[in-house]
Amino acid sequence: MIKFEDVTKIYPPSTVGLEKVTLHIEKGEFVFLVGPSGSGKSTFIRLLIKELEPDRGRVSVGGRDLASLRRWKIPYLRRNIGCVFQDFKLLPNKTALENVMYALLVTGNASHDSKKKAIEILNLVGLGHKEESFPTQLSGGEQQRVSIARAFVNHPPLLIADEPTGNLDPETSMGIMQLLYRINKTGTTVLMATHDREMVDRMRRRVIALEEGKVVRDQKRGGYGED
Amino acid sequence: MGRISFFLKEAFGSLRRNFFMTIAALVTVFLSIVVLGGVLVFVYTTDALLKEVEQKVEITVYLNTDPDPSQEEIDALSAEISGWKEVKNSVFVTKQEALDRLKEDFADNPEILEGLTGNPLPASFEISLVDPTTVDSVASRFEGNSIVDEVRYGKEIADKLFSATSWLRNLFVAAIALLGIVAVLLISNTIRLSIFARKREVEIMKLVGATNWFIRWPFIIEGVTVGLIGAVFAAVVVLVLNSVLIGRISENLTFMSVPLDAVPNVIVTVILLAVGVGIGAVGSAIGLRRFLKV
Repeated sequence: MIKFEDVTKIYPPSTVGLEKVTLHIEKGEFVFLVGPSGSGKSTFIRLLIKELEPDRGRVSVGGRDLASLRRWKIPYLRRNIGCVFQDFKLLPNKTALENVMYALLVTGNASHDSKKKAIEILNLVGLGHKEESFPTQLSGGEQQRVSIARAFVNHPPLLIADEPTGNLDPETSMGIMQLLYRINKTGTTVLMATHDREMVDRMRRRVIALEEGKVVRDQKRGGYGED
Repeated sequence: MGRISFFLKEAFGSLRRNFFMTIAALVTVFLSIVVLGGVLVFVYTTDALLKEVEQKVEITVYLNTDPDPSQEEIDALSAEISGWKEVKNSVFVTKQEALDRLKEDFADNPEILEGLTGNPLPASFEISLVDPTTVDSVASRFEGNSIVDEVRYGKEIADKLFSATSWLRNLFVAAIALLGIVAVLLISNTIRLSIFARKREVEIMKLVGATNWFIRWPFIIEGVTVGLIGAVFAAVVVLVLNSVLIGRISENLTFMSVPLDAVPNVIVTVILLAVGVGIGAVGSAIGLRRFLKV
């Protein structure tokens, strides 16, 4: 699903984003990306959605080399990657339902169909009763659920979550994690960057640890720190 | 709800939400187009005036008086003049008619003409032309004619007038081009401000996989709507002001008849609306360009 081959990204003038990172993530895996701030987690994610270009090496997603992907095709790449962020990134002037529907509309889906799908997915994340609420009327946990619903509504083969529980209390975080776990069970590859030590230790999934742009650990059923 | 109705809903929704930005953009379009419309009206009116003045460039051909030419000679010349394709109209003024005119001109103080014995005035042809710029070449044809005493056509006035009118026209074309550019810049700047306020929104749209055109359409519809509404108001103001002002001016300018219908209202309206729509669309496209590079 994801292949990094000797990938280096330097932010001018000389800040290291990633340095010689090589790794594979298989289809259907659940992977934690851990490490302190500035270790390269966000760079890793931004390279995956082609928000950034690597200075050296190759990034491929779903068997497709991103370097050969034309600029105008980037939106089509992103429709196949669901993204969830720490700050939710919901459109403030749209209701929960409209936010989820937006992800369907951009793909050119017929609209009454997309409304049905969006309602289904909101029910799935447990927000069926809040579909007409605007983001400001929702709690952090609820907003994150909307954003997960939006990321998953197209049933993308890959879902990326960048600190999805970063702004949430532990209990709410647990609910979000369960949601991601269920999504993973449907066959979607999930990549989650996180600081949440407790969560990583509890889940016992593959852990990739980054430090100063380098992979310092890649463990099949790891914890947040060294065992 | 198809794509188009989705875009329309997006556009009108954000026009309503960003009410003050909408008003700011509207006022900018309105003012730019009022100025543009004012210049257009001025161009059309002065153009009509100049055309009228140009029409008045006549050639007057005075015939000999001592001796007066025979009727056959006059008829021959008259026929010749009428045969020239540059000539629109030619009027023969007899000696008697010339004297009558003079008397009429001095009707208020007839003592000036008291000492006049007989009729010293020459007969003349008054020739108007199809194209005033041919005045030189037509006038030169009378040189050496045995019955012609003098040809007058206000050469200098004609020349000055022609150079002034062509200069003025060029100036107006330049002014309109400049105004157009200024208007587009103002609009794109206003729209850029309104888009800047929604920079985050555009970023999110891109992250979700919206194509540039999917993001762009609602903004362009917004721009076109603002441009159209601003232009409609501007067109109304320009046309109303035009009819009021021209009325006033023609009351005060008695020596020249100002053509009241010089401004083709339909054409001006169409031009102003098209410009409004154009700057709205181009303005939002330019304003959005920077933010679509994510």
